[in-house]
Amino acid sequence: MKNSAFSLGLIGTLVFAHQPVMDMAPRWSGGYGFQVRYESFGSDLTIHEKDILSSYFQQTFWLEGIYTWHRSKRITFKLPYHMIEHQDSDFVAKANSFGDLIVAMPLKKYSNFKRRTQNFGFTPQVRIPLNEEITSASGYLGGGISLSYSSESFSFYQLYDVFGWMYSEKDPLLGLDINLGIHPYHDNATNTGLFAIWDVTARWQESSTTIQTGPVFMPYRQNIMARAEVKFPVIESGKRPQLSKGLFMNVGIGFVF
Amino acid sequence: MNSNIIHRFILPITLLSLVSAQTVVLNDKTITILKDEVVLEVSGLVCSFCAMGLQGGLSSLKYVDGKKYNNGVFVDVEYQYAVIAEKSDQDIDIDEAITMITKSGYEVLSVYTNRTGEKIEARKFEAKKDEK
Repeated sequence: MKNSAFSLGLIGTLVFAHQPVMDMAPRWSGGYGFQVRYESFGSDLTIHEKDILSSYFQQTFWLEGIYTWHRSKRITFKLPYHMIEHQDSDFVAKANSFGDLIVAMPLKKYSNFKRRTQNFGFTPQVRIPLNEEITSASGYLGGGISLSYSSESFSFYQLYDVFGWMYSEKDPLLGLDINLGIHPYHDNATNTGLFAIWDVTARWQESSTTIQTGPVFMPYRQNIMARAEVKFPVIESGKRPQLSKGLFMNVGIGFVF
Repeated sequence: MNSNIIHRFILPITLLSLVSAQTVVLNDKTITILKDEVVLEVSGLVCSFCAMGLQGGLSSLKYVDGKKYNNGVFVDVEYQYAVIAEKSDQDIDIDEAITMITKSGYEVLSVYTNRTGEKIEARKFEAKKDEK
């Protein structure tokens, strides 16, 4: 029971809300793409930085895809493969398995201005368990809604995303993602460039609150884009004893056609 | 004295007028319109990663000279325009190019051609209500 209290307090608050491919493409009719991501987080300290001989580390590989019918209508999927290592005193548990499939339908309203473009997004999404086994990271049927706003000029990029998830067997989740960035380099001839972004990620559940922040770098060349980010927790609180989320790392590469 | 005046004033002004006749100013940038090229001013073309979708679509048009630029297309996301290189004496279908750009998620504001090599022809389009 103690084990699940730790793990349930830890997981669920780190839902990665971004949509493939890197929240940006393809926005052309008939476009499609996929991306793979690796993310890891976890720690052996509580949110009050006490060592309690417990630890939780999770690594996840994500396969994600998108198809764009029209720039305003898309469908995406995200399929995780989790590798979890959980220790609580003498108890050690390892679990490697596919997690819950997330299917979303981002609907976007674009406005093109002379020197910038912006869009408002509404994204209904469902989370579907692929097997009956319930772990700290998977086994939860859920439904979510996201409301987003994104604006981009040649030099600046910003994204705000507020979203909520309801699950069948755990606390609902409310989240906010903010990405503010610059576009310091772009070469028109080769369509090569780089975004440098600062990310703020906030997650609220009945049992815990987490705010993480950190830098994101997104280089691209032609139809290939990568994303690398590191986030550290600046606020972590909870009603019950729980482990810190620790350092969150994410690297990914995406392709659009 | 007369020769000096010609060299210092008349010749530069004449050259300037010849050059300016082949150029347009788009979003504060002066662009030379060459004979076998079509230049399109595109609203909202700032999404650099998305620009490759537009590039891919335009390069598949008939009579695009794929040897120039990036498969025949140059996209400038800083000043929001695209250049399509045409094969010699063969014109691309500009309406098809406009449709392609619209499908890529952008809007065309103006199109410039210089078919004769001596005079620029411009087509302007009204921006939609939510564009500025």
